[in-house]
Amino acid sequence: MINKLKIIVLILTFPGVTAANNIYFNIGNNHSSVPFKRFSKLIYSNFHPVYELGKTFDLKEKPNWTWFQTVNVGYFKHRFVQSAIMIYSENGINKKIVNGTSANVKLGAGYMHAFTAPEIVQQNAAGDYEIKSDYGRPQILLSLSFGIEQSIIKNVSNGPKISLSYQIRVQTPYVQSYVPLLPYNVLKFGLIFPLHDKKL
Amino acid sequence: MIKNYKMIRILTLILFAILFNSCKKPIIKDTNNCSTNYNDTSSLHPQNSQLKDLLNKYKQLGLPGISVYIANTKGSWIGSTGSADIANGVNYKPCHVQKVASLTKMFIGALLFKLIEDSTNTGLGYLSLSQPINKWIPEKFLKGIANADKITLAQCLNHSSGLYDVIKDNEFYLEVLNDPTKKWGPDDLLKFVKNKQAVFDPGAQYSYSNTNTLMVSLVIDFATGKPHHLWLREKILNPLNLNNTFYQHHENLPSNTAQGYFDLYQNKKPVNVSNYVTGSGSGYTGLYSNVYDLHKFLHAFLVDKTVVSTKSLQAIQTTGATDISDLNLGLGIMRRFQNRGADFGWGHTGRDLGYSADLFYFPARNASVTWCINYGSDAESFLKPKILAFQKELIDIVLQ
Repeated sequence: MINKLKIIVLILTFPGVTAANNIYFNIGNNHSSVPFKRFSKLIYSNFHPVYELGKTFDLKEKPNWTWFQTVNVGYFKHRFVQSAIMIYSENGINKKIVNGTSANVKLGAGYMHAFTAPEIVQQNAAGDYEIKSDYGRPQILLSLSFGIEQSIIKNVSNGPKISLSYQIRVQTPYVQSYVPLLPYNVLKFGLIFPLHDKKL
Repeated sequence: MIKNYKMIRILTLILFAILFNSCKKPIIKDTNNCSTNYNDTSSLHPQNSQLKDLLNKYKQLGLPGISVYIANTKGSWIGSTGSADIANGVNYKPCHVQKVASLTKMFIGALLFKLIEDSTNTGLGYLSLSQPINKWIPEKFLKGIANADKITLAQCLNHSSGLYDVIKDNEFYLEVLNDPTKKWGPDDLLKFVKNKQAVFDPGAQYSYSNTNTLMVSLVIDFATGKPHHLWLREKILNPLNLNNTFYQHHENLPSNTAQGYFDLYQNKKPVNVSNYVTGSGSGYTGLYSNVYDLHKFLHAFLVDKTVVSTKSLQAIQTTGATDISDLNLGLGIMRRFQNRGADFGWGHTGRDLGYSADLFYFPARNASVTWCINYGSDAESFLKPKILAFQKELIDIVLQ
């Protein structure tokens, strides 16, 4: 646990991180599914909500692309299965496509604390089962995201934006012996707000 | 710009509204107590204390709730122990209903033969057993299923079809997790079987596959033009007065349905998995019942032989050898415990997420064993060996 926190602190204090560029809020739907499969179902069925708050740090900026790091705090609820708090960071590249529109790809890793949705029971010394308090289970989170961003204000690339992203998130170890990796497909809609109004 | 902000606000509100209204309700709610007017003479059974001790032993060993109905030459004995609902402190009683998993297959097998006997109304006959399933099941269900034009109805009943087992598919389990209370339709399940290699050529071997009974239920649906769940109620459950038996998703479950548990995380801390549905209502699982009704069915089917004709029962009990030494598969039935020599049993085992059950008749001893445990499945867990040990010890006592 301490090692995982150290990694997060290390990411936050990465020497290249000099400017905090954007904050964003994502809301979306996550499905346990094989990556890239049943994509359309994310839109119309089985809503397992996910909420995320994040911050982007530019590491290197060129005219048409930006190398960046993110830090995210999130929560998701999967009815009858689990809910989880997520803290993770992503490293990615954002490429301008046309004026006001850009696409990005991000690779992430972090920590997830998962709480089982149904009750957990345990046998006591008398042989009877009783409810056991659930303090959650530590899990590792890995992610790969593809997204597009669109400026809300015409001709202002550094203003507020809306975003749509598709994320493959893997939780491990869900069950050590027979479900070591639990994949989720996530569709997120987001609002991005710039913290520094450099080019207005 | 203002227009864009307005649009975002509206979109955000719609998203929040959808997401907060997305929660599904549980199928199995808190378990209520139940009672029965059954005239229980278990205390007079000469093996009463032995059977009570057995139940207490396995409660101590960790089985959450157990109910048992045995009948042998010494009389009948009914008993239970443990919890039907641990969170609410409800004791497991023989009247509690639970998922009986693959025992559903035995009911569906019996149903098919009832329909064969009623050939003038159903269009099915004994010859149907040797005909390929694509005679009745439409192409849209069978497209991409290996050997669908060769597999016969009998091969589905005795698991010699070579059909890929839907419940062994990883994607299927991801879907169960994604939508635990899903009402599975046959096409939802068959998509996990399509484009999968056959396990073997039809008729070449015997290998248990849940997909087989799914196909049998589809044959009933399409051959007769009436859903198999309605036939089940009409031909089996109602005539036998099985008033404590319900077919999940086609029928509502009663308030005395026991919770089901499984050591999901393999840490000896079972999780309540009652609301994880693994394809109920599609022939291979989904029947909920209690030991009274199960015993009643077994007795009528294999002891009194009043459910199907002698000709049908002979066909049902025609078995082929499997690679498991103590198991041969008949048409919707198992011949088990053959390592006991003449003391083998006819019946079925049932193992599903959260629940286990057994239903066997031992003809050489005129004895029967029916039990339900609200823990499963057959996957490896710390309680699986205990369920197997319980099964063995109980049969040992009953056949003494």
